[in-house]
Amino acid sequence: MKNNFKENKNNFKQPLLKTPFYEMFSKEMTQGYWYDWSGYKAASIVQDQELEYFAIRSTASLFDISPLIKYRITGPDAEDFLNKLTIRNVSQQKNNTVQYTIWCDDEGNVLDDGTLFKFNNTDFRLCCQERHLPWLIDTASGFNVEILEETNLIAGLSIQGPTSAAVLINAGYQSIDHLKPFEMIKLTDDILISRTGFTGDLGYEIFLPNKLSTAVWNNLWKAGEDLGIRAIGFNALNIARIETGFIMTNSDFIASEHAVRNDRAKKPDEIGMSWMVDMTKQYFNGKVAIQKARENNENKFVFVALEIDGKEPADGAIIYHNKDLEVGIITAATWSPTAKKSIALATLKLPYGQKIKSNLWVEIYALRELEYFKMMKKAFIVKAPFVKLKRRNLTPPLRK
Amino acid sequence: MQEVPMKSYDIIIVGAGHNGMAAAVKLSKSGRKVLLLESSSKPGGMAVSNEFFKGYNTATLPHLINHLSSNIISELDLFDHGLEIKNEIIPSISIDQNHNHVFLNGEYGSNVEGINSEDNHNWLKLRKRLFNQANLLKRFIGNAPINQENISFLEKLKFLKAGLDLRFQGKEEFQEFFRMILMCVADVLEEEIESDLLSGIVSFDSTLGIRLGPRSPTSLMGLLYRFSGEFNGQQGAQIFPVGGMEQLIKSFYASVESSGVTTLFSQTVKNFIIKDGKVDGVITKEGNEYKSSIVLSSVSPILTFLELIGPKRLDTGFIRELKSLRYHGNVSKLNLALDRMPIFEGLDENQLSSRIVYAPSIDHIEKNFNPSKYQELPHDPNFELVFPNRFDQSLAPNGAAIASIIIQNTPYNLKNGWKKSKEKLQNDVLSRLESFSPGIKKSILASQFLSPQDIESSFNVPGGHWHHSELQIDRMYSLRPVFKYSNYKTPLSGLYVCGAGTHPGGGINGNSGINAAKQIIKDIKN
Repeated sequence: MKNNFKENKNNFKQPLLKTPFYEMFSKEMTQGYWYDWSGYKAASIVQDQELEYFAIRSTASLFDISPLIKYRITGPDAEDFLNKLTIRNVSQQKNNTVQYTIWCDDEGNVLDDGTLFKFNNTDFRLCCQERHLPWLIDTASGFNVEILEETNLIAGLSIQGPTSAAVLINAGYQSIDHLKPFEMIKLTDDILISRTGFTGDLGYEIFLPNKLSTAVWNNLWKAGEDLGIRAIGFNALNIARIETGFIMTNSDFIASEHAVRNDRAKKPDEIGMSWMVDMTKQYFNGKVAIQKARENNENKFVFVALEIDGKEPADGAIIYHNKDLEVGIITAATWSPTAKKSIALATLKLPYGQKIKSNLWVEIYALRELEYFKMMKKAFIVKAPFVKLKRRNLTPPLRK
Repeated sequence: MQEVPMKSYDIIIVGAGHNGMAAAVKLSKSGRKVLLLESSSKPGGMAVSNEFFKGYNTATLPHLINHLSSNIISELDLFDHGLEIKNEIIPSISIDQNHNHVFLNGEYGSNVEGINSEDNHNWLKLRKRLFNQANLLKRFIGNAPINQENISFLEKLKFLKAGLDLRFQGKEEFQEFFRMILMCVADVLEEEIESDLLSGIVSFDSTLGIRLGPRSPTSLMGLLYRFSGEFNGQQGAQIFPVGGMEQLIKSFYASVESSGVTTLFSQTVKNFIIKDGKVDGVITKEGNEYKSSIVLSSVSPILTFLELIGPKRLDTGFIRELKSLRYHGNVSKLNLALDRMPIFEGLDENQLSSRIVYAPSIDHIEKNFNPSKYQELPHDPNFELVFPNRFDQSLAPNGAAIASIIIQNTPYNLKNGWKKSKEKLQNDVLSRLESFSPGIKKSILASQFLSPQDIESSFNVPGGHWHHSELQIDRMYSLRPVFKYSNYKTPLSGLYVCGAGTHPGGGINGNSGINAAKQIIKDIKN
């Protein structure tokens, strides 16, 4: 097993790195809302958060996903290794598809979630939020695999929205036409396009060598000119992902490696990912602990989607049962422009959310001109996604 | 005609070392059908003996007993199975180049000759205190350690009781315990003892078998571990059985046979059969399959986990912990076949029936320890020497002698490699011996030398560590081999571990085997 990750010893001189698309986003940027995404300068808002959201839902949006942590995992034992690492069955994953997945520590607590790109059973790419090279290397003990950290070698763009397929076809990528959701296709010049995204809409993710970033950007920008293409920042994307019920590491749950307090780390069952755990697999990291927690009813939390009365977003609000007993917390909330509702993702302490599902209340503090308005709003457990779009799964995709 | 062994058992035990054998007896007596598998052709593990030269038979590695508790003797009925002790407690001698030797008689120097009266007074006081402290730790030897799974009220009560008992001995003993427990042995000795030779031998015994020098913090713990040992109720006693260490192992094995255990030799376990996350038997390199839903592995934890299970089947956090175990040994063994009994200046013939230790001072050992940190050999190696034929003449031809020498601070990894270093180390030891016993070199007929690397390959112990892995305070009790599995369990349901790498650790005592057997019996009941 080898890895070629070289430490950048000069990074203290330049606290935030620039992605290959930095110049393009910089040019569009009118507000200067940048944030730190894994050490890269990334846009929160490019021009206008609402317009950017509606680009996702009505036309086409371009979001820079270059800071995603990317590992290339190759070698004869790559599939076996990933079956040990992740809780899903990688052997059942078809070639040239993408699988949303999770990996856990020995206690069965979630280390991170991510997407696994399977080229074939000896060649994979794993994309995620957090850096995990030491964990991957130690997990690979005994396996004949090579793990390459390629975060800074591969640029990424996410194009999402009803006209995204049309933009790509316009730009000359006709072969995406037959891609079903979670399928991917390798094109010339090492360009990879997958029908994936974080929006629950029709959309694609493009991975490319850094040096092609200008050419690909210009190509897409031109192809999308009449199709409403717009560069977007994270804030707009965040609304779309909450509408779809997608969770985010260290936002909706704390990655177990970061959890300082004993009870903060969460098992897949506690973050709504029970469906993903493949107990028929012979073995995977954390299986024994997850099984034990299930058998002994040791899971303490449940992850739910909530619709909340009123219009006020309930970010970080405490959830009460019968208005007095604290039973949980909202981890992500927004006003959904598409569902026209106040929606939220939340963690509830069992048995609330499972046996006791009604009489839940959310305490919202709305700051209006230096005065708090305290509201107790009724919350209803619903099934995610809040926004379900037919076009997300339609193949061939919408062309317009 | 050899009986065809049955292929299915209640419990399979891997390794017929003394711990494997102790567990086998205990489990068999509880009514289980037990299979004991051993890779070599005879029982004993690292405690075997061999005829290394015609007519010269000696323990390949350890040559004395100092950790065999009365509990183990009775669990295995060793006295009924051929264990016989004729000699009295074997004294130790700290030898001096100027022949002013220091003699530790009785149970580890209950009476010392060759030191001044003040030292004598202070030594007896210190010895009493250390024995007392060791006794406190000894209470925890006979049970599975506390960990997150094994934490009952009764277990907690034992801690409370130990604390109270200590407190009832008075404020001074109580405070001294907590002051001394993490100290280095050198500081403790320098507070009390003037004699370099006495301090030397005590420092040697504190640090033999672990990678610490007398001035390394926590090195006193090595001495307390030694003092927690006993022979048949005599704390600190060292003993040589009639017939040698071979007879001790024979008595273990006789107990195994009479308890109805099936033992198969020359069966090297290659891996475990795993079914639905549970162990379901073993497969041997010889191609045999033995079925059992409970397997107890008495081989080293590194071997059990990283090779027999393999890292592919182990959780990553656990692999990280295993890889942090320090399992490289630093003790070598030299066995010499001599054509006559050597003469030592300043020692009469009877005094040669002792454990002779070359450890002139604390600093002498510390200076020999230093190079070992940098993968180098000691300048003037410290060693202990016994003549097994002095205790049992049948071990060597008439008039001849065996010298059994344990050499300290000889690291597993050497900068110059063992191939080039073996001869130099032996020469250094022999030259030193020659200075005490002129002519001894000439009387050598044959020799057997085992470096940690030789021990690794001869005994199938990764790292060649006599205790399987470092027996320091960070890897004792609940932390041995690792916290999560210190109660002899493993990540594989049905698989258990015992042996020197588990609590309480090395030395010929069989406690880990008995403790693991008790844990298995308890688990079967539940």
